[in-house]
Amino acid sequence: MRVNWLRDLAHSSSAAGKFGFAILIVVLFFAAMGILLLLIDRAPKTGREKFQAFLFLLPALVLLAIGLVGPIIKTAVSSLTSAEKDRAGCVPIPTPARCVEDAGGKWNNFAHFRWAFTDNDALVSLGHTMMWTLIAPTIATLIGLTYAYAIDKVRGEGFAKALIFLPMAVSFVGAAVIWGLMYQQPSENGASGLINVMLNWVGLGPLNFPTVGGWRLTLLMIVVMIWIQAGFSTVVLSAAIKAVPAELSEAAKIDGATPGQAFRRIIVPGIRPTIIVVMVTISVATLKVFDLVRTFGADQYGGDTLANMMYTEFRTAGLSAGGGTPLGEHRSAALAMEIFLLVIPFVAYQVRQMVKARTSQ
Amino acid sequence: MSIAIDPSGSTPAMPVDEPRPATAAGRVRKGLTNPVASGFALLIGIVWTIPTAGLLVQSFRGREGQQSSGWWTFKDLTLDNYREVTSGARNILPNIVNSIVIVIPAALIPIAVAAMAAYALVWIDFRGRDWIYVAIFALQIVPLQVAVVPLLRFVVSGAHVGSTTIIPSMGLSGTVGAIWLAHACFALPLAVFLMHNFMSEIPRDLLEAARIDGASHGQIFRQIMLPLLRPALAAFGIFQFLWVWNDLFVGIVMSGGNGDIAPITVAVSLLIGNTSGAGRELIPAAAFLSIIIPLIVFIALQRFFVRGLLSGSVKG
Repeated sequence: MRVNWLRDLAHSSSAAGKFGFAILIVVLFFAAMGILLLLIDRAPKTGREKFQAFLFLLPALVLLAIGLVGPIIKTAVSSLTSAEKDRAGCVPIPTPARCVEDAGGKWNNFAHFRWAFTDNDALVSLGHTMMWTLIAPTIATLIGLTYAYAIDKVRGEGFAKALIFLPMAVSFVGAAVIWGLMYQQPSENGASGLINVMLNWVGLGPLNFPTVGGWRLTLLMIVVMIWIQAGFSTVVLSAAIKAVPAELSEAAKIDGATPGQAFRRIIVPGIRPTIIVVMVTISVATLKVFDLVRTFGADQYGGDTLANMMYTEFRTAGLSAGGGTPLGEHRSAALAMEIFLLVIPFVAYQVRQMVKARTSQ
Repeated sequence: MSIAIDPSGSTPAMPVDEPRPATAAGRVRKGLTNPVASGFALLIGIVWTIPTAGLLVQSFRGREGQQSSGWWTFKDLTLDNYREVTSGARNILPNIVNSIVIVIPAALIPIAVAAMAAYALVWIDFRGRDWIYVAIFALQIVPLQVAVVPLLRFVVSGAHVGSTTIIPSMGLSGTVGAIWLAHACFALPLAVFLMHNFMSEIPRDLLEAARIDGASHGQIFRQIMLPLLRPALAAFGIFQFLWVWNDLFVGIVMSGGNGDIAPITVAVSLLIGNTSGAGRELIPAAAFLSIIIPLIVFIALQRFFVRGLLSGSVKG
């Protein structure tokens, strides 16, 4: 009897029920936070500050433990241990356990990682992920930098910035539809994407999107990523350019520097730290690229990436008779750990910057 | 992920869209721009806008038109696509409702939790607090790909060590609760970082005065911090709104194929994947409906968003 109504509300399929559940949870959550604040004020006198700090931190620590720390340990273990092995063709009735040949969960000497670094598909995905991470951040930053400088102090700067910034609000799924339309293959009925029409003007063949596959397909998808990320680099770099003392460019002008020279010799060196930060940020996003690849269905045409392959492996893992974890899930964990290892240098850089900024305060 | 733009770690007070006064320095800088640069800027501006404009036009064209000509011909304009995706078998409005239902708690919960954590990290002196802060910040290193599957298992069956149950299943499986939990957890490192940055800006004297007047930490947090933090809360709120609304990965994994709770991104993604031939003409309309709400929010609240961005953060 207990909380059946709550369970019903949670599983409600009507709009009103869903909103009701959301509002109820938000109210309960804020009530809990309120009670926590009251507790903080009633803290015992001894060790008061420490106890209060602990209560302030408690919700965050609980969520981080559940959502990040626990899961990464589990994924790491999963990537290093064996999967459950079932007897082929065995019917798991009456007891599923009779089909289990090996319950799994044992250290297996990096078998999943060995798979990840020898399997052709996994290697291709790794190669594509590297390609994404080398190209997308570089070009997006370059475009953002040039654009930010070109529109700096020009009339209509805000509007120009809004134009390039807008794609940041568009989901990768939306962007995939938008660019699917741009890349559309010429059909027998006459319709064709704008890009193919324009290629046709200059006598170049259609792009064959997405069937072209491989690195070409990857390049076409990277264009979409750049389209989304250039706005971010424009806005951040534009703010940095404005922070470069105007006297510097003034002096350069008096010395007879061209705008290009002033840009290369004064602006770019002046905002170098910000340029690196922008590239690092876009790199981290690019390493995890999933939505675009998934929505374009690029894995079917040989344009897979690690993050998408990780999901595919997880999704197709199926069930194991004994309730242990199937092979696909362990492999998916190994791919996830691969992404994790690739992200480490970038985030380590960010952490170092942050610590440096704090100690210099 | 997160970035520190200002080397001092503080928030650059950088009004982005405000017209600058025409100072002497400003005029000099303007003198440095040239027609080539302006032409380049114009080109980029057009190239960046055309794709979305194309989607908008295409979404209003019928099947015939979409198949036989490009959107720039403006042929075969109709409202049928929108009618079809907002009613009947292919109705995607329930998924928009799901997205709204997902996004509200998924934005509010981490904001509140992060504000409290940041308060302790900035204003209460205790040993190891710098380490805790750096550790929370460093947790951004965990890619969603690593965290999401174990979190799903946790939601479905609770936490166990061996055969001992530590935390029982919370009955969130198959509900939007699972998606909230995931987004709330994943947002925290960034949220704590942002709140910490903003909170460090508040003058210490203010707090000390309140302490001398006998205010408790709870009171200071509620009555002084929260009102002062409003811009930061707004900045992170819009951030998280866009992130959650536009997310496909967390939504697709945590909804576990349950169409009843799938957000709009998952619905559009499935529509693309499962439709060949008839029905494909609906994709532009569905996609446009999925991006219109974040676009409006984004345009209306861009100021806050940019502020959050410049205070050192974007996530992915």
